[in-house]
Order: sequence, then structure tokens, then C-alpha cells
Amino acid sequence: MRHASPLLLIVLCAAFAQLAPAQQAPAKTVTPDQTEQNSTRRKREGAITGRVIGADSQPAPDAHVFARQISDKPRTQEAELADGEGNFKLTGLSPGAYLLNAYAPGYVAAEASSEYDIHRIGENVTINLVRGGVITGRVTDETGEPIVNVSVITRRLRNLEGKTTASRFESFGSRGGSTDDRGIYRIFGLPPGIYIVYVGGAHASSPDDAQVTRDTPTYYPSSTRATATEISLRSGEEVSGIDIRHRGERGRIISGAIIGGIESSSPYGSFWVTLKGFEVGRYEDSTIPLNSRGFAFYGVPDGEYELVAMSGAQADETYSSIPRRISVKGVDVSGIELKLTPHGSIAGRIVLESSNPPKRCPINTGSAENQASGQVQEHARRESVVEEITLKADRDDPNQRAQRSRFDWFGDGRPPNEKGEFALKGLEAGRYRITANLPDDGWRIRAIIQTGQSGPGSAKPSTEAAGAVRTAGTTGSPVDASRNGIAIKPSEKVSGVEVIVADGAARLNGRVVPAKEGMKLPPWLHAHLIPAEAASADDVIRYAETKVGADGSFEFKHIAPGKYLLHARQVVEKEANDDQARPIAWDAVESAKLRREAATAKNEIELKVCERVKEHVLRWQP
Amino acid sequence: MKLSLLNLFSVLSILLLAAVDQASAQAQQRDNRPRTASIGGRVSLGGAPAANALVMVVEVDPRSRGEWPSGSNGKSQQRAFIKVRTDSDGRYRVTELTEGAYMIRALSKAYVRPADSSNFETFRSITLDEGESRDNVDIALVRGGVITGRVTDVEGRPFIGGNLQLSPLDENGRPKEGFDFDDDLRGYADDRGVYRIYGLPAGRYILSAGDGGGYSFASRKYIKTFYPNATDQSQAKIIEVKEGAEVTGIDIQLVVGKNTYEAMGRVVDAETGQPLPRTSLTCIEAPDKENEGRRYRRQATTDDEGRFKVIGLPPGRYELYLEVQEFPYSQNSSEHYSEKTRFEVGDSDVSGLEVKAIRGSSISGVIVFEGVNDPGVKAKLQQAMFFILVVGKRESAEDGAAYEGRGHASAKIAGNGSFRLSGAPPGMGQFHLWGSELWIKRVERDGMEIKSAFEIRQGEQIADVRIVVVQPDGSIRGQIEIADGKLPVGWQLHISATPMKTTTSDGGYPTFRQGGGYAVADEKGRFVIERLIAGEYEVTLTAVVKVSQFEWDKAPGISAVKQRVTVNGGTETPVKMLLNLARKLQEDRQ
Repeated sequence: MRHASPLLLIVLCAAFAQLAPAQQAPAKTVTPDQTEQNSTRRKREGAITGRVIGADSQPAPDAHVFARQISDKPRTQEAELADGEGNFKLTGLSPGAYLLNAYAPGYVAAEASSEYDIHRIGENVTINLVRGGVITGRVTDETGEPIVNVSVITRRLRNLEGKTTASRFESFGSRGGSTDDRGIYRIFGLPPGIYIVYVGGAHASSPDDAQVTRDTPTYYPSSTRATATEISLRSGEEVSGIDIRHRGERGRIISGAIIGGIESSSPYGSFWVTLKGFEVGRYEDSTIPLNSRGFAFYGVPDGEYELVAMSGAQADETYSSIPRRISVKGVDVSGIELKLTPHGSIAGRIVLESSNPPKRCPINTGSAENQASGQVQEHARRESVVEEITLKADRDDPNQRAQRSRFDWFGDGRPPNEKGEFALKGLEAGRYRITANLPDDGWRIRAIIQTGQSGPGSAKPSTEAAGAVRTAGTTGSPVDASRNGIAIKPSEKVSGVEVIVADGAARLNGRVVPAKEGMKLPPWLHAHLIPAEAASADDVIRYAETKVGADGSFEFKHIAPGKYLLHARQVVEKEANDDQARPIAWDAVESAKLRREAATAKNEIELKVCERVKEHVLRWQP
Repeated sequence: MKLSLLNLFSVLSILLLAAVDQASAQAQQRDNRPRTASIGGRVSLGGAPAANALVMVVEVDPRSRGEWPSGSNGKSQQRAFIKVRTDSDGRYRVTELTEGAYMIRALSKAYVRPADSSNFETFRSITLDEGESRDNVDIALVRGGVITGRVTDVEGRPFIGGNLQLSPLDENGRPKEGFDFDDDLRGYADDRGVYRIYGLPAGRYILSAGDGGGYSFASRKYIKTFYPNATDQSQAKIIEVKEGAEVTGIDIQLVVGKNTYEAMGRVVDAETGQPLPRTSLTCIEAPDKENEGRRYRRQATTDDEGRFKVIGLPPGRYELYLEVQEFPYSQNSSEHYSEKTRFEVGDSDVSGLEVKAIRGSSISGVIVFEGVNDPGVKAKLQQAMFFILVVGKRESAEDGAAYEGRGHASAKIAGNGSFRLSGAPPGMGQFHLWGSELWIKRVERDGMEIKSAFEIRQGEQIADVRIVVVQPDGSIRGQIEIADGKLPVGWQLHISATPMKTTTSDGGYPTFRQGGGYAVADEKGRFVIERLIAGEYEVTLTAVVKVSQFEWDKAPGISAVKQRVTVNGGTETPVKMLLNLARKLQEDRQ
């Protein structure tokens, strides 16, 4: 061992250096064998400019801006502020779709970024940050003594307007801190919203959490989840006195092992198991077995849960287990086996159709604001390319809320390559609908077709059945995948899907006003565009649905030219606040009902090629 | 003599052991071991009994000593975890325990060992035999000191989320070695810039901040500043911490550094001169004594034209190289390696830098098993970290290291055992296989066994390498006896097993990392070293004293004990070793 020691020292010093706080996840290297390919393509590299605003329309000082490319091999570009006015410029970006994040000490984004914050080269983006809030208090044990060095976790349930965001964002956004020698904790940098705060349960990050890790979580002030007191936090506000008295109730241990799947290529393993509760508040936890396949959850309160194992996030092949339902009632549950099966996928090609003559809509220089995250983008667009599109496979299940693949962590989809080829992976068995985020206002999805042919050779839907590709319905003939979605059997890999993008799309901005003066609009409304012709009743791709803002405003983009019925529909609060509510068009029965209502209300509108309708008024009649 | 190397190896072992641990799927049966053992003792606080004090008893994996186990560890689900409180006499007792290894802890992180204690740890590690009743597992603690204050810059802005580091001073007022990475001495500034560092042993300290880090992502506009506002360590004001006392108002005013600048350039293929797009680079502060181990680093990726820009660099000296050369080695293999491009940032941006990506050599071949039948173990090969470390001979071996690192190449091993390592620089290579239960036994090149000096020439394509791996199933079970006395409190016995068939006699560098093992004896002098390939080993027993979180000193006056042991495959070789304390005790008596 003596001769190995100096080497170990080199290697381990490097290891420690690596462990020093990293600036950002480093990008992966791509073998530089694409040099030839790239030189033949027209290279388009550009910048995203913008400004970071903190409080009171003032720039946020010391901000750093990161652009993370949405892709399987994401690259991150960062920029500091160019001046004292909050301006930044991210350069050297290749064509694609990017998520922007800004960090400034003391500030935080009001919401986690979502698919609405996808930005592209040439845009000018204003990023609004808000002052981070603070929650502080003291944690004591059953005898009133302070508990030292335990993790305190905050969980944001919804924002101040009452809107719940997908739990996936929440678990990424839970922030915490540790208690000091007096039992006092201080958690800062919190976005505004409604919170619960707790200790215990299995969120052990420090070794001293052993004191509480096997107990059920105690929520402020000294409660179970069901009776936890919610804390309202405004931006920049400090809420103190959030003292927690630990209940000290031993929780149960849920344990078992993961079987199936293949060994991962990383020695540190990439299996993980999530545990979700069904009751109000949905206890959620996840654990990563350290390369061995055994897992355990500690401090679990009695209740009903669902366990899912997953594997292979970084690898090409991803796996998950069928959700297992378990009941915890006063005793530990052990010996659970979760069997991993490979995920299915949908692969295919985006086809950019150009009409003859091309209907290229004039470049617009409008701006669009994402109400939630506060990012405002201005367009100074030039020609878009196919790599700037992102596609998603949304799970469509009338019995469950539409869910995205668990691997679509940020819900932002995947782009195709320069040839338009795409693969949406990590799909469990079920029915999926492909949706897209398009870079150009003039683009629209004309059709989504499931052909019988795999591979990029066919430009048009083919009638040949080939390979191991399964088609819905009759063998070989292409199927309209937008009507009923694409069904995936367990582990099935569907290919030959064509997403046809055409040009000439129209845009409609408008406002809903009450039909009678003095009437108030209902609090939650959705606006719908329904193809007017009876023959198009089943043309799911031409249906559009959007939320109506508090001021009655709405916007439809990427609309195929044609005749439509415009209709406003009242929705219940639950649906209004649900980011993943199922679009009406996906349900044949509801869609027909909507169509009848719209036909009665008879708000007709015709949208021409590339038309930009600005102030269309829609009268609301209850 | 510091034995930090021993400890670094044990850190590695912990990582390795965690990685190679058997799936505990089979171990899901109920634990039917007899529960007849017990532990008892007394907790004292500043010499007086600590009544109603929290005591935690945790059963641990006997191999993973030294770290208090974290709760969410799948392996520990079967292990006991008991919380009790001491009575009015400060006594506790835990019964109905199985045999096994246990760690006992009292109170909290706010408490530290007494100043006169020779035991670095605040917890106790013991092993229980079946039915053993162990008393006098006492824990003596005192309340630690606290340092608190606020960190701002000259404009009064708080240092949100920033890191602070305390350095303990020795009798001469110089920072003690080995505490640079001590977690217990680190602080964090909150949104007001306020920090609080507690659980400190009494003593004298200096405090620094502004060294980067934290979650603020603020650019490094601050220079490392010592309390209260000195950039020179010699001007740092000493903070005196007393047992149980709080020192407040230790405020630091950060000195604002100079502006940060950008470094721009291109990455090109050294041969063709073509730019390399989408290639990641690491830009890191050039090493010097000041920044040992904590060098400021930035990262950049080249665009489609092979151009890069590194931002946020304060004035100083830097090195640039391809990121593929970072540890832990990613398995995104590259055909290239680069030498370090060195540059300096003065008071303006730097441009025109060039990083030459040199086409490295490739080594391909196959890994074959010898005597391995378990398909599960074979499958683990695909998950292993396989790489070759390349070194070159050092011209001046001033610090005893005869070789210096040149780079490495890593690869995935395919299902049929084949591999291709690419982008290796020229030099002497040493193969490593981590994260599986397999050890390399032999390396063959062109049909011949190569024991040392696996030479890689510039731009060479080496094929037909055959690496034989075995699943080591030999082990050593040892018992250490102490002659003339008891092992003093705070001492530990560390044992290493090194294969005797070393190959440095001819001056070459061994072709692969030799197997071996390491263990720490329990308080009964027992140890086990597992996963050894059959062969001859030199087993070395050293008595050590822990002096900081990551370092042990050799116990004074005790020389190491060496013994030659033969390990056979599939069996456990018993070993007895004798440690003689007599000489040391004689010194004490004088």
C-alpha cells in the first residue's frame, strides 16, 4: 500500500477539491466528433439579453444569471450583470430552448420556473425577483429542552393567491435550516406563500437528526400534519416565533428492496424510492439506497401510502415499479419488493411543413409576461429552427390527474435534434398526449400522426407496417395520434410518430366582459376555441383552451387559420389552481358537451393566416 | 508524524464498502439474535452528574467505524436505535441488546470533550458479545463555547449565505494543522450576515470569511478577511473561547476585492488546429500553499466555434484544462487530454488563450474473471469505475513522491468485459477498479504479464490488454493483546494489510492498484480485514491518537508491529498480535 499512498493523496486531494462548494452543475462533455457536421450547417449562435429586477423595480445587485439548455445533455451558461442597472447578456448559446434562473443574495424567484419560462436566442428577458422571506423559531423536545442541530423543513403549500403548484416543484423547493445550540433556527430566502414547518421524519441531513429521524414529523406548533398551522409569508417578510415542540412519537419503518432493472453504470447507484401519502397534505418522502438495493423510510406516521421505485435517471434506459399501495397501522412494514420494469418511450420526428408559397408571418415584437414567475420576454425574433421546439408527453388518464413522466423533473420537455428526431422517454404504461412549446408565433401543430414506419426516411405518413413498431388500430395505416393520444403498454417503445408543424398560425388576444353592466365575472374562467365546422368536431388538434386572467384577459397562440367558436366556461377552484388539469378536448363526452354550449352561445370568430387579433371582446353570460 | 494518509484510505474504504455492500434484500428476515446484552454508564457534565440527559445508543456496521450513522441508511433498518435519559445520578442503562457494534452518544453537539481529555471523540464505540453486560461506558462532557457576530462589507451589505471558517491556534499562536476541513469549525452567515458557531472546545481561534462558498452565488468580490478586517493572517485578532461561554460581537468587515475579469480563448485540436465545440473546461486557481485544497474554480464550455469564456475571475494565477480530467472521473470518455494552460489575471480581461486538446492514447482489451461464478458479481463490473491513472517520473523528488500525476482515462466496461480507455497521456499507467467486489490480479499485454511500468507512449493505440480480476474472499481475523497495561483512553489501533509481492524493486510503477485492506480494532482488540486476494501480506499494527476530524498522530513512543500473514482464498486466517506498552509506561513513570 505504501506505493499507492501518494497516488491516493493526489486522487483524494482532488476529491476534496471537488467537494468544495460548486458553482453549478458542470456540463457534460460531448465528444468533439461533430466538428464536421457543424461546419456544414449554418451556424446560429446567439445571445439572450435582459435585466434582473429586484424590489421596487430596482435592479437586484450581485445577481448571476444562468441559462440551462433543455436537453438530454444540458449545458449551462452563466453571466454576471453587465452593469449596475441589472442588465445581463448570455452569449455563446446554440439554438435551443433554455430555462433562465437568476440568483441574487437576499432575493428569490417568486415561483420555480416552469415551461412558460422557456426562452430562446434573440429574446430580451426581464427576470423579476422578490425579496426572500424568513421563518424563524425555536425547537424544543417533550420536556421543553432545546433540540440542537436538527433539520427544520419548510414546505410551501401554495402561493399567496392560493394556487398550488405541482408537488414535483415543491419537493425541489423545500428549504430548510438547522437548529443551533439554543434550539433556534432561521430559514431565509423563501419565496412568498403559505407554509408548514416541521422537524422529524426522515429528512435527515445532519447526523444529529438521529434524535428525531425515527419519530413522526412534528409540525408547527406541535401537531400532526392534519392539524398543522399554516404560516403566511409575504415577500421580504420575517415571521418569527414559529416554535415547534417535538411530539416525540415514534414513527414506523417501511423497508424493503428493489429488484429488477440493470445495474447502473455509476458506482454510486441511481435507484431511488418515493413514498407518498394519500391523505390531506400528502406526506411525501424519498430515499436513495446507497447502491445496495435495500431501502428504508423512518418516522412514517400511520396512514395509506404509495411506494414507487425508480432508476436510471442519467442512463439511457430508465425504470420504475408499478405503484404499490401499503397500509401503515401501528407496526413496521418490511420485506416490500419493488420490481423495476423498463419504461416505454415515444420516438419520432418533427416535420416542418412549409406551404407553397410559404406563409411566413411577420416577425412580431410583442412581449409576453409569465404571471407566475414574473419573467417577461420580448421578441426580436428571426427565423426559428426545429431544435428550439420542446415536446412533452403528458399522461392522459381520466381516473388520475394528467401527470407527466416522473423523469420529466422540470416539466419542460425535450427538444428534437437538428433533423427533428425526438425521443420522449421515461414513460410508464398509459395513454399520452404530445404537446409542444413552439418558438415562433407563426408556427402551429397541424397534426400528430402515428405511422407504421419507424425511422426518419419517410417524409409522409406511410402505409407500410415495418419493424417492431406497433400502431394503434389497423396495422400499417397512419393514425391521428392527437385524437386519442398514444397508448403505451408496459415497456413499449413506440416509434414512427410524426409531429407536423405548419406555418401561418394566428394569435388571438382578448378580454371577457360581463354581458350585463354591473355584473361580476366568476372568479375562475377558462376560454376555449372550438373548430366551427361540424366536420371538424373530432379534430382534437384544433381545440384550444386557456386560463382567463383575473382581469378577464386571455390569449390563444399557434392557432390554425379557420372558423372557430369562442367560448368561456366557468371552472371550480380546484381545477383553476391545478396546473395539470385535463384539457376538455381530451375527453370525448366533455368535449361534445362543450361544443353544444358553444354552439348555443354562438360567439363566432374567423382567424386568417398570420392574423394577430388584439382586443377581441367576449361577452360572458352565466 | 501525521497519519492522514491512513485516514484518507479509511475514508476511501468507507466509500468503497458502501459501494460494494451486498444487497440487503436477503436480510429482510426478522432479527432473531438473542437480546441479552446491556450497556450502562454515567454521563457527567463538567465533572458533575448530568441528570435527565439524552443518551442515544445506535447499533452500527462493525466495518464502518468512525462516523455517526445518518438515519436514512437502508442498511441500518435492522439495527437498534435507542434513546434513553439519565437518572438523577447521571446514570443510564440500555438492556435487551444483541451482540454487535454500538456507538453511544450523550447530550448534543453543543457539548464537547473536557479540555484535559485525551479522547478526541465525544461518543463511545464498543462491541458487545452475546449476553455481555458492559458497565462504565461513561461519557464526560463540558459545555462548548460559542462565537457569534455579523459579517458585512464596507458598504454595510450583509454577507448572505457566506462561509466562515475558524482555525484553532496552538500554544505558539499558529493555526493547528489538519483543521482546514473540520465541519464543526465552519459557520454560515444568514440573511442578516449573522453567524453562530457553537460546540467549541475552549481555546484560541482566528476567524475568516469571504472565501466564497455559500448559496448566494455572489461573485467573488471579497478577499478572504480575518476578524475583524485583516487580509493578512498575521494581523488576525485572536478570539479566546472559554468553556460554556458565549463570545459575541465578533464582527467581520469584508474587504472588497478587486473587480473580477473574464478569460477568453479557444480549445483546439493540437494536431489539426481545428476548434473543438461543446467541450467543457475547468479553470482553477493555480496551487500554492495558501489555498491548499480549496482552490477557486470556475467552469466554461466552448460554443460551436470552440470558443470559451470564463467569467468571475479575481486577479491571480490560474490553470485551464479539459474537464474530463476531473475526479470523480466521469464516464464520458474523450479522445483528448490537455496540458495545463497557465495564465494570470491582472487588472483586465485576458483573451487569446488556447487550450490544446491533445489526442491521447487508447488502451483496449478485455477483463476476464478468474474463479468468479456469481453472475450478480459479474454484473457489477458494468457498474464499476474503471480507469487508468497515468504518472510520470518526477525530476526532483523533494517531498518523497517519486511520481507526479499526468492524467487519466476512464471507461465503461461492456457486458462482454471489453473496454476502451481513450485520451490517456503518455507515461506509466496504473489500472484501478472501484465500486465492485473485484480486484485486479494480473495485467497482460500482448500475452505477457506486466507487473510494473505499463508504458504508454504518445498517440499509441494499445490493444490486446487482458486484465484478470478475482473476487477476493480471503480474510484475516485478528486479536491484539496489549502487554503491560491497558490501552490509554483515546488511543486507537489501526491495522493495514499490504500484499508482499510488490513490484517496485525494479523502479517501475505497479500496473494495477494492489489489493489490501484496512481495519480499526474494537476496544477488545479484535479486527477483521475482508476481501483479500490469496497471497502473502504484511500486516502492520499502529497505535494512533486522533487529533482532528481527519487526522491521527502516531501514539508517542510506540513502534508499529509488523507480521507476515498468509491469506488463503475462501478462508479466514487467524492472527494474533502483541502490542507492548511497557516502554511508554516507563517513560510516564519518570
